[in-house]
Amino acid sequence: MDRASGKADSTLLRVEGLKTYFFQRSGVLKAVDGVSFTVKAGEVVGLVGESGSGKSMTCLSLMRLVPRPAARIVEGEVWFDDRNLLELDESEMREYRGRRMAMIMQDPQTSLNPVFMIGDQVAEPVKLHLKERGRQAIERVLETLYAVRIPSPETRLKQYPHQFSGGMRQRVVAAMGLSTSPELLIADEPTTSLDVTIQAQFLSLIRELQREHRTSVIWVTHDLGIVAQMCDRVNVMYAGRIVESSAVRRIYKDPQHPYTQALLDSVPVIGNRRPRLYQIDGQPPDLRSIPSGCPFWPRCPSAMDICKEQYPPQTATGGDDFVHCWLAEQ
Amino acid sequence: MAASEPILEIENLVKHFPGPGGFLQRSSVLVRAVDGVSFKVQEGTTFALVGESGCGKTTVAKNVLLLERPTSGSIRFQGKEVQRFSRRELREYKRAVQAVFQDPYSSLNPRMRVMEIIGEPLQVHEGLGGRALRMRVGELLENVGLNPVTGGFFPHQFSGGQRQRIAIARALALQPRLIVLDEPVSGLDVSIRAQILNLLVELQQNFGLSYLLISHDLAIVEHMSHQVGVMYVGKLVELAQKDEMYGNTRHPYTQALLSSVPQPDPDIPMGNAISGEVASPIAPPPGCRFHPRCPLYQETAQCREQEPEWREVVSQHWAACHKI
Amino acid sequence: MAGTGTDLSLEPTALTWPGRVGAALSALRRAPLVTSTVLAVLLCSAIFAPIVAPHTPTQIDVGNSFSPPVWHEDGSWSNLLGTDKLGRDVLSRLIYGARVSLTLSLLIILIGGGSGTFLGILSGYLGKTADAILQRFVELILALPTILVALVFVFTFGTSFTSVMFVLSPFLAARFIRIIRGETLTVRERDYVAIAQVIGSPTHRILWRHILPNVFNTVIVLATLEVGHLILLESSLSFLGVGVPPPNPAWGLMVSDGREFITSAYWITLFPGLAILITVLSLNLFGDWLRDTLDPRRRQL
Repeated sequence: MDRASGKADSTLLRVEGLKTYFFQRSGVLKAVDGVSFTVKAGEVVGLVGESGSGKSMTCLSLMRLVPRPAARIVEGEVWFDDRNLLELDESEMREYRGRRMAMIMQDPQTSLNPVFMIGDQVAEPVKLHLKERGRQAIERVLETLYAVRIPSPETRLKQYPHQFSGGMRQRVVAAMGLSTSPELLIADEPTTSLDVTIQAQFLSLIRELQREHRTSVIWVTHDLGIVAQMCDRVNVMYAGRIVESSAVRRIYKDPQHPYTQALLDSVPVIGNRRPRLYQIDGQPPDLRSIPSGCPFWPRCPSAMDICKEQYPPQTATGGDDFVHCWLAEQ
Repeated sequence: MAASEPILEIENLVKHFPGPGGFLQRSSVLVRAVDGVSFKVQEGTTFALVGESGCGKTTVAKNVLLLERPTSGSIRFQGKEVQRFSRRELREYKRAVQAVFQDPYSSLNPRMRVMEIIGEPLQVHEGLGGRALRMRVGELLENVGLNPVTGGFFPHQFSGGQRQRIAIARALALQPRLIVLDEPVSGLDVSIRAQILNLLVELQQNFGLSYLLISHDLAIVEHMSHQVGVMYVGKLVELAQKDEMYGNTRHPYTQALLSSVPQPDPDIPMGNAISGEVASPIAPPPGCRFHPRCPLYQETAQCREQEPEWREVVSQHWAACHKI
Repeated sequence: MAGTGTDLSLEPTALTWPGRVGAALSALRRAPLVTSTVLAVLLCSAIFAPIVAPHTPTQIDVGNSFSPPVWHEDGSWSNLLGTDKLGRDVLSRLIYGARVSLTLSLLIILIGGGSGTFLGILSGYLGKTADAILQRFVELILALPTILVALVFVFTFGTSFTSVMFVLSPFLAARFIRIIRGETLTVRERDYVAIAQVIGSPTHRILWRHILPNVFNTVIVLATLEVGHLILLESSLSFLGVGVPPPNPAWGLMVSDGREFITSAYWITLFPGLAILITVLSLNLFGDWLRDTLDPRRRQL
């Protein structure tokens, strides 16, 4: 672990058997199908997966922002400190959402309201949660805008979102999230719409702020490069479940699950020339009819008979690491 | 590498758009989307244009595809000037040059069956119909790894990767010489990207295709291309063979791009991010357009005022920078 | 399960009243039989009015005025839905009225909507001068007060079915051009249109194969919405005496005729009102069904 601290081991968030389903006319879509993981204080945990793996829906479930009535959290527990968030009523939940846990969404275009000034939008959570008003609130807003390195925040306060570039807008969104100094930050692919050099700026900014305030972060992404640079621990998701969880270094040096291995081999890497990329054949499964047994078996190079029948149990692979694969079980 | 004749030569291509104007008034500003770009695509190879959004790479592609008319400069295809094509030559050009775009959802008409989508170029150019058309479409579907029976389906019945295969099959229908690939895999999932990239490489080898690849992803460019050009705010800043470009990077912008890519290895930390924003093509900085963000810039008047010359720094390796 | 709140049950939530109405409507939408039957009945009665109608719609019988519908105590079988202030049979007028109201609005939709769609697509796709000229034309028409223009037009050319049609069609066309042009502008930006240009597809093929099918949803929705609007417009014109010339029956005219007697003889307004409601509703549901059927993405749902 990178961080040396006595409190590093205390668990901030513990998710147990979370299931979020969509109920559609054509059937039940199991977006999140039994997800369990923990986030320690000051830890950056990655949720990696492709579209439809359930990573974004997991985050929305933690915030209890699942789109209703289409989807519902059907089962599970989300322990934040000592409270199960799924048992709170809506007013109690508001105390957590925005105050103790914040979220940065993928698209900075739609995260900001185009008709309000930036200053007012960043002040919103400050006024709502910290009950700060007037001069005090403005001071706080300036402080956060300064923290996310927005040049000349005093003049920027009175500007509108369209006067900001994509990278700057995403910083404003981050500022909104961080203004109440939350303990947990959920970042849902915040850099997908940013250019490479701007993404690099944003990543190092968040990493720096995270270290400074010892904020816990759940970082959702499909980019294995970002995971390697940002996270301490990685949870690899496939078809609504976590198939492998491991410390970041280990996942790149010694991946346990064939899916993780295949993902790593299929991405072109600068400086690592191959005439042909490893290719995972087939398509990610349709979540309305997930294959029986291990959902990855139709695409798995080392599938066995048992894989088609039974979902593999959790196998501990040392430390807090685990994998769901019959290969590891043997 | 089969470097023979250039199939496509772009010389000093310029494309300016009128900027956003006000109500009832003509806009006075110019968007300098492409501002003097020259390169050649060799027959049977891949030329990649890399850069961040707003650098003009897509505008170059649109000019090559005749979706836009250049403000000035020339585009030559197999030695002949595109602007001076006769009607017949233009028709031939439209057979020989095809495109695959980024968004597999927007590039297929949702109201048409796969058969009609892939068959459209064949109908337009060869008047093919009935059984002959079905046979040919079936073949094309097989070429891109899809079952010929899927010809009767509609696009929404396919996943993103499969849609991109259909788009590729359509591009292959007229046996083209050059395909413009505009971010062909950025709309796809990680595990699907490899499938499409492998398919594109295979098709290039089997049919001797030339590619003009537009991408922002330096890893994909390294994997796919033979020659690479890096663009910044409407201009090429560096151009070289792939090995030379990645092994002997000269321009500070290319270096910054390379070090900004998060490597999938925790032991290779990301380089220091360069500061600042991508400059606007409406009012590009004077002198070297990169100087406000350049780590090598030391308040010298040269960088600030004088546009750097495009020169061959090593054999077959061009760059525009005062500091090299 | 330890941590299950009310959120976490698996049963589908019981349907509330508005939910049930919604479900019924969506069932109707998926079964075009009901709506198309209603429309067919209306059209048939319009076409075969002389055979179906029990009385001549213009026959005045002052002695028998304000006779109530058959289910009232003093109603009679000879006037099923009662009579109006001049003793004319409401049912017969309704049936002949369908002729005027339906055929008029459908014809206007066909002529105005059809040309509007065509011009809207051209305007949006071609852009430049053609677009600019058409848009000024549209603005001009939309700025004109419909009723006033109709008055002038009809006074010049005389009141008749065709003059109403000619005066209303351009107004409808203008609305179609406006909206279809906007749709075309979005569809034009889709990559498949660019690819068709790259391939070298001729313009008429791009318009016919790529643009029209993808703006057709909007055309259908607009057409079904405008029918109701047209029936109401026809009634205003009739009320002012420049619509369908009286004593010919038209639904709108019948509604406005009965307005002053609404408390004493509700049937004079109610039945033509219901006819308008049922027609517009059926057309809307039918339009929804048509839209869904034409859209391959919704077809197998």
